[in-house]
Amino acid sequence: MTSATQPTANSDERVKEISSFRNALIRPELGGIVGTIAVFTFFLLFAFDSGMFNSQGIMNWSQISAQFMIIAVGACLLMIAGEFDLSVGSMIGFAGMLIAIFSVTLGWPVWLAIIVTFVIAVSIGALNGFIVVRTGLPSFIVTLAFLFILRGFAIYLPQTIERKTIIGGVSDVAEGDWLAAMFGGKIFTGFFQWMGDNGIIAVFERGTRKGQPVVEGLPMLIVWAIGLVIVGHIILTKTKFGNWIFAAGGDSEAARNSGVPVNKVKILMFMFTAFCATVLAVCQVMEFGSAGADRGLLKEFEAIIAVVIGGALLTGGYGSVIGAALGALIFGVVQQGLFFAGVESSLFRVFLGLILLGAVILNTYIRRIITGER
Amino acid sequence: MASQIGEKTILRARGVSKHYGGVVALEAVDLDLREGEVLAVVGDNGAGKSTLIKALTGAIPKTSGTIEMDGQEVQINSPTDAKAAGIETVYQDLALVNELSISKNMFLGREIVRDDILGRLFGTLDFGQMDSEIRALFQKLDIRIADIYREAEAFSGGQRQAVALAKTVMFGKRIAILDEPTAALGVRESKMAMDLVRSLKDHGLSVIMITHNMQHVMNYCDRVMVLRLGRLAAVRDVKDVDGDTLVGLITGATEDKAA
Ligand SMILES: Nc1ncnc2c1ncn2[C@@H]1O[C@H](COP(=O)(O)OP(=O)(O)OP(=O)(O)O)[C@@H](O)[C@H]1O
Ligand SMILES: [Mg+2]
Repeated sequence: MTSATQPTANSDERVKEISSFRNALIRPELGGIVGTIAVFTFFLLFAFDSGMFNSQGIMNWSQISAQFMIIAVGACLLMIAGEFDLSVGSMIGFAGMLIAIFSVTLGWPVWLAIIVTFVIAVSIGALNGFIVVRTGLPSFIVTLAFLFILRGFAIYLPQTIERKTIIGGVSDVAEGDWLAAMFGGKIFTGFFQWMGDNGIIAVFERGTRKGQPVVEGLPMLIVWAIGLVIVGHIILTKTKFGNWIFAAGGDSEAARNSGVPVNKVKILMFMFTAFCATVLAVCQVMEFGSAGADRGLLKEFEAIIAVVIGGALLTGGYGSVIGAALGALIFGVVQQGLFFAGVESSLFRVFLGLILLGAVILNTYIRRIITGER
Repeated sequence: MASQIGEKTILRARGVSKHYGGVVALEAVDLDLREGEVLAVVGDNGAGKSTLIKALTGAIPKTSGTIEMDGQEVQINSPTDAKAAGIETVYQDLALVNELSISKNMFLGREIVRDDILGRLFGTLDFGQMDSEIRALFQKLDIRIADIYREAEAFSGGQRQAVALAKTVMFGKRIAILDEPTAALGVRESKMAMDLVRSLKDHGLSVIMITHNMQHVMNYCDRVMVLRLGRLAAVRDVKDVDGDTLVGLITGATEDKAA
């Protein structure tokens, strides 16, 4: 009974010796950093001339990565709080559809459509969370139900109302809308024009857009991604609430005993996940000018994979937003890299599966070395 | 037993019961905690000791019973309520979050936020303040933890228990409740934990301590209450009993005449 805890006087020093090596290894971001370096090295070596690293190519994979990042931030905080949300992908389709129906079919101003959609989506997130904490059911099951419910509505609503599964015409009604511009617009256009003028990035050689840079500005999608990553990272590592997120996911009983409002924390994280999904939904609708019933398919899993590559533990209580963002970056780069390299795009799925397996095994293995158990 | 024990009752519980479906974990237990005393709660495994303190501190809802502090009835429906009433608890096995560092565990639920606009708006943490308070306290209590930024799971049972007890020293205002503070500890570490219990008392706290160690009851406690099969079997002044009598009361071999 007493053997496990040897009361040796120098036990503290033993701890100290390994701690700097260990601290370097145990950082949750380690896998993400290694992966990012590996992926960039690979494509720089083998696909440098493919156009992947000119201004258009960079913008291309940055946008794809940004999409992953937006939902990964939500999934990351939620996973650290000890829960999953499998309804993220369906929420993207559903929220996008609501915006199109409100603004195009019902003719509401776009800003109102966006705000109401956010309110509905975040309320559904709260409902998800409420059911999970109240019933004590695994969030896997509860949100699986919403995966089907929301996808069903995303298909049913436009079919019943408009007799089709894609609602277009959002671009026209969104013209000049202040809130739509915050999701679909581009910033720093002057700076990009200047870069074009000075030969830093390519400009169109002919046609109506002659002289304009091929990349006109920084899309709001990327601004949202960077903003959410920074905010998520600061909340998690620098605030009281961040501590509570870790504690709720690590050991909810001990956290409760310490006075942490565990249920509130979890419900808020479900709401935040829904918020992130809706941000992506709005960005997509504004970019494409339409909402499709099948938008966001499988995105919940891609978000979870990015988070796991980023070093988070599926059991909760451990993880990093920066890691998740790197996981998302790896996805974007590989997806577009395969495209530029002319590889069959279905192989991206194969890659996702393999990298997920690799990341989980690596994370578990490292953790076992460190803690000497588990 | 240096400090004087007042006659004043700080915490009084009456008729506390807890039923799990058909299982009667606790039935009509009364408890009086006097100002400045260390009250031991003993009993066999499953006697209802943990259940009693969880019901007292709001960690589980009680089936029935009332709680008074300083003669006033209080509603304690969550650990947060208990803390607000000045009661600090170390629950059996559930005191620390393994995944959090020692420093985060110490202030969990009571983090110090920065005294500026960021702190007030977003709850950004004052790590420097918290860490220096932890270091000072550990120094004072002679708790040797080299790296307070390591996760709690990396430390031995004794070190973790010491941290949990340090938490009650830091935040306990009136009452400290400890569920088996020396369970699974070695000799040296048990001694260290019990010294911490004594320092709680020296800090002016009244203590309720669950234990299976009769030696600790004799050496560190003022009164002892015995639970058997969810019921109160006896309450005694420690100076009036010996270990054998206590064991008899715990097992039911000795029936209590006074109760
Ligand atoms: N969640 C629960 N559901 C059903 N029965 C429970 C539950 N928790 C405790 N019990 C029962 O209540 C009784 C008292 O348990 P309790 O944990 O209070 O014992 P204890 O005196 O603390 O024992 P130990 O010395 O082993 O810690 C036991 O019979 C136990 O099986
Ligand atoms: Mg117990």
